[in-house]
Amino acid sequence: VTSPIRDYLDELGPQLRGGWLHRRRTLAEVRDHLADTAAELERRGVERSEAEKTAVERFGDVAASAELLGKRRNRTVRLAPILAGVTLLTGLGLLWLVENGGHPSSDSSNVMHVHYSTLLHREFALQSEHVRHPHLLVSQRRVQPGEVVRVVATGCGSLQDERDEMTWHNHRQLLRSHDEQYTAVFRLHRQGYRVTATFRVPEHSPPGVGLLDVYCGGDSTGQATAMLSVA
Amino acid sequence: VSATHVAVAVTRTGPRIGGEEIPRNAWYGGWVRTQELKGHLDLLVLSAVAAGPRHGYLIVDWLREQSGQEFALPENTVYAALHRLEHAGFLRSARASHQGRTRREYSLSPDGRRALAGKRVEWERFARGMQGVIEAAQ
Repeated sequence: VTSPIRDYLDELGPQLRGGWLHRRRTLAEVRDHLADTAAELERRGVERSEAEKTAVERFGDVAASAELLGKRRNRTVRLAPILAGVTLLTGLGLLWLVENGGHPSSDSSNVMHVHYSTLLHREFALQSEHVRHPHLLVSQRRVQPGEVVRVVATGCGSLQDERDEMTWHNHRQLLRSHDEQYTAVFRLHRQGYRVTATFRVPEHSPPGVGLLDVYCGGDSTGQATAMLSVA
Repeated sequence: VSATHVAVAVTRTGPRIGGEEIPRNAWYGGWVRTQELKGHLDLLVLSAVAAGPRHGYLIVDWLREQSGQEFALPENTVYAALHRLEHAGFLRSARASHQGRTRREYSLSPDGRRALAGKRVEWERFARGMQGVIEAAQ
């Protein structure tokens, strides 16, 4: 069955410029908008495929959307997040050495920092003056369905009007599904600005890349993402 | 020359205005209206979120409703404006749940509130000026 919305998103995704997080956020926003428009038209009696087609037409053509919604990159500015990320990672490494005397403690020996995640967040941080992203740590990055992963987010913002939440999804679902792409919401435990959780990889998780999103702090700045490899 | 004649003419020649090519299938009057609206998009979007947090779909819907169906911009331009205004610090966004669905909602920052007040004053001056000229011509 053809889906004009799915086709639109599949075409838009590769044309969008900007960092992974920006593209992911934009695609999710466009997908939600198109789904809402189609749902409203359907509610008024329009047939599903026609509703999707109209929703896509109203939004604007793919090339224009890619041009309007892609993030223009400035070569000079791009160096800033890389330098900031390297500096931050070096600092974190030194801090770890100081705290652990160069030896992994029994408690945290298998907890690693998701390096790429920090770089993405530093890049994202350029978008706003009021950014504060948590640092996300996971006990392992290669997982099996049903396996348990320990998750720690530090540096979370104060709770606002939203509760902390953690979601798990397959990266392809973000592009493929125009309904809810998240498969589950997991309970988190908060102590001050630190949030911990024990996450069991869903049994139905397909092999490949899985994304674990943690939102703590109640706004867009309280987000961190870990990329796990499901065997 | 009627709007229809202009539409035919621009379709044949594939014209450019200010370096921007007019879409071949666009109705000329509609295209001009879109261009005019784009100049005021920031004011429109800031106004749409002034009453409280809204997500993109509701903002588009609100603009259409409040303008009596007159402002039907290509919806991607509204999202471009939302992202630009957030980047400039005039808007903040946060995920929020609506009827079981999670959506990104936009709200005014204190800077956005000031910007909106300034843009309103600008618009009122502009509208007064236009009104004065049009009335004098009648």
